[in-house]
Amino acid sequence: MNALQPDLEMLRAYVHGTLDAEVSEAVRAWLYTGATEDELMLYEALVQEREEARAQLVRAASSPMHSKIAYALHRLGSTLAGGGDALTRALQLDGFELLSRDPDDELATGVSSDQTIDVQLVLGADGAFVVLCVEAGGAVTQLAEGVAVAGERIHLPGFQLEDGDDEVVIVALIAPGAAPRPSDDKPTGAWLLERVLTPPSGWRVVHHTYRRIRFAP
Amino acid sequence: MNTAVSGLPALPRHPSKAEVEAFLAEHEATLWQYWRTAFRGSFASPRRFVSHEDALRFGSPERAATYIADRLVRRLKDPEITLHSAAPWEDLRTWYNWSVGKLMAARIATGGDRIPAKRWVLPDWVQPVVHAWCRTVREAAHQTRIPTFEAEWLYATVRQRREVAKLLRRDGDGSPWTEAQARGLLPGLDRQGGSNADRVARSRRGATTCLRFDILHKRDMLLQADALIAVFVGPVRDAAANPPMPEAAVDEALASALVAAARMMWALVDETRRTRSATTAARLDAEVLARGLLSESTRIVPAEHRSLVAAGWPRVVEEEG
Repeated sequence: MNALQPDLEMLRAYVHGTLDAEVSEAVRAWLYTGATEDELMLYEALVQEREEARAQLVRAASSPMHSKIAYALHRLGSTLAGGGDALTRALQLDGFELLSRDPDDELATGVSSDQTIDVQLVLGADGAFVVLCVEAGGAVTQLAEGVAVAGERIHLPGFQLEDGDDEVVIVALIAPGAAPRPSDDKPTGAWLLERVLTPPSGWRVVHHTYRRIRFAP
Repeated sequence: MNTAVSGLPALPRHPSKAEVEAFLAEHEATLWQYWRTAFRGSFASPRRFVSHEDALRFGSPERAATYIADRLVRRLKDPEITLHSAAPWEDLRTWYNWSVGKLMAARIATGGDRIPAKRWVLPDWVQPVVHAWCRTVREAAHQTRIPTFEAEWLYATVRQRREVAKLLRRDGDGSPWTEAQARGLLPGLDRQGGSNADRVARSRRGATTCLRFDILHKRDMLLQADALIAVFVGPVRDAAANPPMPEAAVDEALASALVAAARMMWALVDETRRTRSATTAARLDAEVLARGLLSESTRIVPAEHRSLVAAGWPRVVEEEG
């Protein structure tokens, strides 16, 4: 039986199972017979790293609709988001209302789980709007719908991140004049995805992601 | 670890362009979302591997991670760029290296051209011992669903297993295991988890890990082994707890059975230590077994039965190695 003391790259490859069977066996023999405490701690950390990545992978794969919508919105980019439309957060402080526009260059805002997220929609031009919330599981719920004039602030109902939700995406679809969608059918992920992938002419899309802040234990 | 939960199908080891395209047609969005969230998380890791340019250029981990995810998807789609060898999706660092154009393929695929110099042939008696330990450890990891079980067990028993290295030295094979300072792994060490409190926590957790190992390893000689395995080497409630507790209920009868098992295993250890003719392999096995019989191991039993278990637990003296 051979034993082989790996370097860091090789130990990582061992953890990910990408070594040849023979080399892998020799590294294993080293782990069981020669590795010191420090080296075993490193090994454990690499295994931990792999498991964290795996958990993220499982999470992303468990809600393909959420991924699809987030990706489609990302690729849509800010080209359609200009024109003064904005999703802003309303912060209450001692009875005063502060308006904070989420910085343009931030893709996501971190929120803690007990925080109520109050969002307002401001339109850059007159139009009909619908605001949808895409939860981490891919479920789509409607937050608001209506017709507004330029500069009007539309208060959306406040919401909190639910347990297990790592992020929600708020999407506002704005159509000039006409209603963005018939109000009698329930919004679905597929409905939203279709309009994000191929927005009807004249429609504007604004979106923002709210992500749970995690504190290291 | 149950690999069945892996969220995305793996690419073939050496995928063709068509296979990559077919994969992306179905999973592009999921892959992008995964990379974005996983790379963002990697910025907080002590072993951060993202280049300084990538980390600094975009101001926030959010933007940098999104950029890296974009770049990876773009490279996968690029007709000019061939993916010679696909790493597992969990292997973020290798994918990152590929995204910046480093040649990862040749390095990991064969291992043939980059075997480090330190390589030894172990004596014949080592192999069955290592194989038997490894088999038990992997089985326990699978059944308890504690992904780090093997690493924890190895860490907890390092002092007991050190005998192997000593014996190898004595057997005249030269001194195979040099000091850690001289080793190639040193740059990867970050001393995280090296504090005293961490060591205590590790030691507690390690004791129950070793007890789980013992039950499975010595199942042939234990009464009610199946019942003990089903509960104590079965799925745990929370793998991150210290120690992880069995998901299944522990009743008084089972707690008593655990005490009986521990006493029986301790008798075996004791006898092996006294027997002069015991083989090296048997001695090593006994020392490793003893590591799981410390009083700390009784924490695997829920609080309501702990005093019962503690009363009957064998008095194991742990020598300082």
